[in-house]
Amino acid sequence: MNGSSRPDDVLLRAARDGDGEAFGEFYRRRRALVLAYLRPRVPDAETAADLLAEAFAAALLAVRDSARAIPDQPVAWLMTIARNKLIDSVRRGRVEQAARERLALAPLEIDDRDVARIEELAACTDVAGSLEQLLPADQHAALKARILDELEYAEIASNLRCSEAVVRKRVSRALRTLRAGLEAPE
Amino acid sequence: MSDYLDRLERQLVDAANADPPGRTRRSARHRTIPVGAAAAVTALLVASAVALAVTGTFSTGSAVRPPVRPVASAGAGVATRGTYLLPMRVADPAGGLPWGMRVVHTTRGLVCVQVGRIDGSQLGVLGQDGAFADDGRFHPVAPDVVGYHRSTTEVSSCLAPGQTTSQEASIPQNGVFGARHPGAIPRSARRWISYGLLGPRAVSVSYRTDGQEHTILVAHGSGAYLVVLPSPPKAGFETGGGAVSTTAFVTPQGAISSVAYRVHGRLCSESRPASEASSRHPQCPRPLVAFQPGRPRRLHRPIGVRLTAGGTAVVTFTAPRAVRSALSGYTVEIPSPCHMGTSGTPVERDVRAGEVLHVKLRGIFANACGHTVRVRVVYEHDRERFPLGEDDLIVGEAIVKR
Repeated sequence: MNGSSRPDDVLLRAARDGDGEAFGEFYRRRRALVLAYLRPRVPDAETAADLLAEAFAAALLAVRDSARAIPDQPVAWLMTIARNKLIDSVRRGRVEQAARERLALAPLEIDDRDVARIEELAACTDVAGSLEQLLPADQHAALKARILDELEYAEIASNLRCSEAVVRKRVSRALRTLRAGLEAPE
Repeated sequence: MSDYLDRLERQLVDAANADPPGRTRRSARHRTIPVGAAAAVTALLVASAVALAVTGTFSTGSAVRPPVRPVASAGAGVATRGTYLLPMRVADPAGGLPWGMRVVHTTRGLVCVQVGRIDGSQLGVLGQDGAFADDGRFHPVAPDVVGYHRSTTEVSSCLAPGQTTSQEASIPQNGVFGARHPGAIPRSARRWISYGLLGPRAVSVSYRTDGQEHTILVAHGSGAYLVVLPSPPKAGFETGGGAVSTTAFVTPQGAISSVAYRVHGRLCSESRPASEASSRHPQCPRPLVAFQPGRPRRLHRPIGVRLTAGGTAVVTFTAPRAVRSALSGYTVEIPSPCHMGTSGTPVERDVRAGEVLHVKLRGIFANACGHTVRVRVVYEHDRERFPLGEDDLIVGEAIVKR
């Protein structure tokens, strides 16, 4: 863990109170995980970097919104935001900039050295392993099979030697756990 | 020199340090336009806007035409005789031509609502703030300009008949959607627009501006409303969004704090969570509908895939069902094994049952994680719904190797 030992939720609360450096620490601590999740799912490092910026900008907007609760599980919450941004980008054929525009963040250029660093960070971080720490084993297995491997419920049920209904329930619970605490912004 | 990740961190930290909660809204609302490098451009735009607003006179310029010629049987379709301009007129904060709304019915079953400036009986946009070479003219939007139904960022929304909507957008005062350089338009030349079609049960909408609550009646029957406010209260807010509902009630969006409906002779309201406590009416009774995505049927029909150079593929299949509206249709999907989403190429035209379709896909292996991708042809009965439901079909699937 980089920087101080303050937990993620404490950093987010401090950021809500105007401590920008706290949000910077949260970003430094979790950017590799988000990049590792995004990079294999997009064609290039530039798109992953773009989505990373939009996801953290959306997270900052949510943190600054006093009407929202600070998430109990910031990593799960952050990953849900990143996932939403990724799905939006696939549906629309481009990476949204709405959150960055709302924060008036200027576009950043990216060069070959940046690309190399992003590839390195993404390659050295284990997303599934990180999510495993957040979920019970049975839920993690079901979620990984359904979401990361995109298997049909029947296939997962056969692999896990349980009924389809049980798999559906585990996936549902896992998603609920990941979404817990706060609705991720669209 | 710092790298991308460090520069992004600096941006986020600076943004997090700016406008701490408690004074964000107030400081944004009272912020003056910064005088900087763009001062000359800004001054020119403001001067032109003020001059037009004061005189209020506009000669008519060229009409806004659709970017491609609309086809009755494809895309959103073309406008039918059901198109009409709503009688409401809303003053612009700076004066000049008022704002209004037009409802367009299309040949492919959509109901689209458009917002713009009104001159006489025409809806249009203004040649100012960099649009139409700043010719100072009113440019009517031709009746055959129909917003694309999946777009949510334009001041134009298309719905299925019977759906209701509440939308908001931050746009230049000239009414032009999607300005190429929105950052060059000063905040004083922007407007925050909230509009919608709330259906026959809607009675009024309420909104706050300058610390005061306002309530306006919506149009009888359609429930149409339009609110035009000065630039958005939040700095940097550029785009819009909204809600569409298939039930009678829509959650208010943007500037709108609550919507009053008449249900069984009694008034009730839909409010945003922050304003529920101050709502004057009880919340409207919500039908309890469990979310059950259903299970699409699988037809296991043959799907042909022919690869050409450069990762392009042509997918061929026979349509089991006819398509006669923009609300249903076929989509060729590629679920990626290591991807949480699915890329899709919709067939956006009418289709005969039994017709053989050829759909070209570019970059078929762009999101592949291995040596193969799965190509799936789906018929969606209601394209606005997600995920697939019971009325949908998975026509067939094919595995494609590199």
